[in-house]
Amino acid sequence: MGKEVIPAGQSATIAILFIIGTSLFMGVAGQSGNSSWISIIIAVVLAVPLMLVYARLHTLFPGKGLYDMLLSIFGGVFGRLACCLYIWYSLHLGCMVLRNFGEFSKTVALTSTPMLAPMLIIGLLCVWVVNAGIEVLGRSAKFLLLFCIAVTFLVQILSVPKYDYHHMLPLLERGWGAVWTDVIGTFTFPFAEIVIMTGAFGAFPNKGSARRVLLSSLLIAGVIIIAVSLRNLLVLGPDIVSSLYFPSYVAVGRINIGDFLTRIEGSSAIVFVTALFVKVSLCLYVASCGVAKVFKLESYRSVVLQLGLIMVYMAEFIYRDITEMQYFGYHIYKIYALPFQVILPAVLWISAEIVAARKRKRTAAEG
Amino acid sequence: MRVAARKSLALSLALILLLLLPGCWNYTEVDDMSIVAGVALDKAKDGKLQLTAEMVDIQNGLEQQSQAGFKMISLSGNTIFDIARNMISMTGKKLFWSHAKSIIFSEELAREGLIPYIDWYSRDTETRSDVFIFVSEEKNARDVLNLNSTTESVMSFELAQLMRDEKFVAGAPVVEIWDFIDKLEVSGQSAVAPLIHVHELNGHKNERVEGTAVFDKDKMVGKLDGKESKAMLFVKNKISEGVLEVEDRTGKPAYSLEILSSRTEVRPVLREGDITIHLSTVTKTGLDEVMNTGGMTQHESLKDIEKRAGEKLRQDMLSVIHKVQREYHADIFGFGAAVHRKMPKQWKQIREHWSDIFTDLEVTVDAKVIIESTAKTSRALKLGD
Repeated sequence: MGKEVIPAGQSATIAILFIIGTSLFMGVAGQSGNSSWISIIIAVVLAVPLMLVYARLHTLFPGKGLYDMLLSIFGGVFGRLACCLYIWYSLHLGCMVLRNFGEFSKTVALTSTPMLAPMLIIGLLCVWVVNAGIEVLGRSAKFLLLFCIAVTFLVQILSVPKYDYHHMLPLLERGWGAVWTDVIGTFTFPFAEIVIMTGAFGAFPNKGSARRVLLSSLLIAGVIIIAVSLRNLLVLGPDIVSSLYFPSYVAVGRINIGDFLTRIEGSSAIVFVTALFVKVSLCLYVASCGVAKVFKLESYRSVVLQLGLIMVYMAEFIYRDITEMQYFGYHIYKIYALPFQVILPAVLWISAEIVAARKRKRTAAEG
Repeated sequence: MRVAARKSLALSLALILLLLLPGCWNYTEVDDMSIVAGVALDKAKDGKLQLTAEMVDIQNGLEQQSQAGFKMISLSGNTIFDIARNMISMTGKKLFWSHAKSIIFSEELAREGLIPYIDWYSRDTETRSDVFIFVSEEKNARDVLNLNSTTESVMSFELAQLMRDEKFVAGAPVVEIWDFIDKLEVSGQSAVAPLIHVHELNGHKNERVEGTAVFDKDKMVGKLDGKESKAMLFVKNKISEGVLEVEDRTGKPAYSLEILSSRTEVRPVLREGDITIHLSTVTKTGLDEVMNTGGMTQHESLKDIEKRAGEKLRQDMLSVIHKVQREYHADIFGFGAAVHRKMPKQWKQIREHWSDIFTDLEVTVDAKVIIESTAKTSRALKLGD
């Protein structure tokens, strides 16, 4: 089978859905209350250099995925170790996202259904799409994104009558300290999670489209997340938002257009499921690719089903309950994720630059 | 080989989905549920909680479409959820809460504090947070729901309908439970709830929503009557429709102004270290009733009526503010929240003892009533010779 290639447009849609995936429903870190939108803006700005680093990696290693880069820079042993770290990270991230969905369906949608059932269904769907190949994922993402944006936009408009602009004031009430804590939280979840995308760089077209893809998807996803969290804030107010597990669900539930258009939160949950499907699929794809690289398998497809099932089961036992999930998500994750998102890629980038510089010097000397 | 594997995978997926897709895990037929229309919460004699649920009777509704049936059921217990579940032992059907529209608390419970009783309602996933909340002036909240036997309609739905049209009356605040909880959580703003009582005149018994229950934290501390409630709604910028009564020169009620729109702005001002609140209200009205002859043109111009109406409104607003300040010490107007928004720095210093400051807060009111139209006729009725 030939090498898979996803066009730039499709990879951007994957990236957008990947970023907005869980944040649409879980909301973003909310220590700073009514100023959280400021911290989202700062987080987006901070994520830009990171995107440039990722994109630069793609230029330095055209046509290679993250694992190839790690192997070629750090050598067989250390490279494999680093690969294992990323396999773990993408597997774990997929688990957390699945679990978010499981908790969501158990808390608000299907309260009597065991959490495993919806997670297994989504998990198997992801196994299917990853098995079919990343091209399929790209094509479905392109279609699903349109749908997601349309629904989000519609809901946004419908909730305008419920906006209470008083919730915005006073600005920066809890000071810059809280804002910066939120910046780190929002930076690691969801924006810098896009590091997973580097695992799929192998499927990118060779010429430098990575920068365009990453930056544009960061921007679009950032705008969507800001819009959604502003809506939650304006409809619910900072105090209520902070007490809810799924603020968007409640905010949408408040919509009442002439006592006729009410209770539409269930339909808006579809957006959550679609975005989450793309996110989990990409995590699964990257984890499978990693396993295939480390063990020198012919194709990643032979491990997709196994990893997918592991992901579902792990999602089942990874947290004890929803409070633990929230604690991990908002307090521990930002520290836990930094090495994968920033430190390792930065080390990789610097080493790659040195190697490239040496190679240039050598060719110059030879020439 | 590959094709075979793929086919078997697809087949097994389809089989698994076949098991799961046909319906929800906990699928229930609609006639296996009791649909709750509303609840009343009382304190039972033994100190326990008593919950009275009004339920829509579906069987009955099928037979005679013209009239909705209802069923009442009461049970006491320690926690609300416990009672709600134990009710199954009386109905044989699971209670379904998503369509509940009203929740009525007895005054006794409200005075003890409502936090214990509203948490379940906002936490549970089946209940919806857009139910209307009431405080009963009757001894028992269930007496209001029991009226359905005389009015022969589902009382809770009728109450919800009543709240939807309450803006035309403006004699009581319209409060949904999420709004109530919001006010409990936000600092610098106290909660209110509409009062409900059984109105009896000439042998007709009807429910009537009039007046306001004033809460300090989650405890009810006092009441405002219908007139005061209207003035309070003016202060809170919650008036959109309603009627303003105006007296004529002799002090006799003679004019009715129909409120077309109204807007109140709250402006906290810092003057020599003290915070004062400045309110300004602009109400646009139409003159809709003149109860004397020759009014409007001969004795009094529209300007006079406007002026008198504005002055009256100003006094009403001031008197309700003073009453709440002096008697209840509960900032139901949200002045604290306004200070919080406009002067976050000062707020930090005073938020701890805001209720003391609120009691002595100086408030100035500026009320302006504008008569924009005189409905269909241009003058008062004349007596011909």
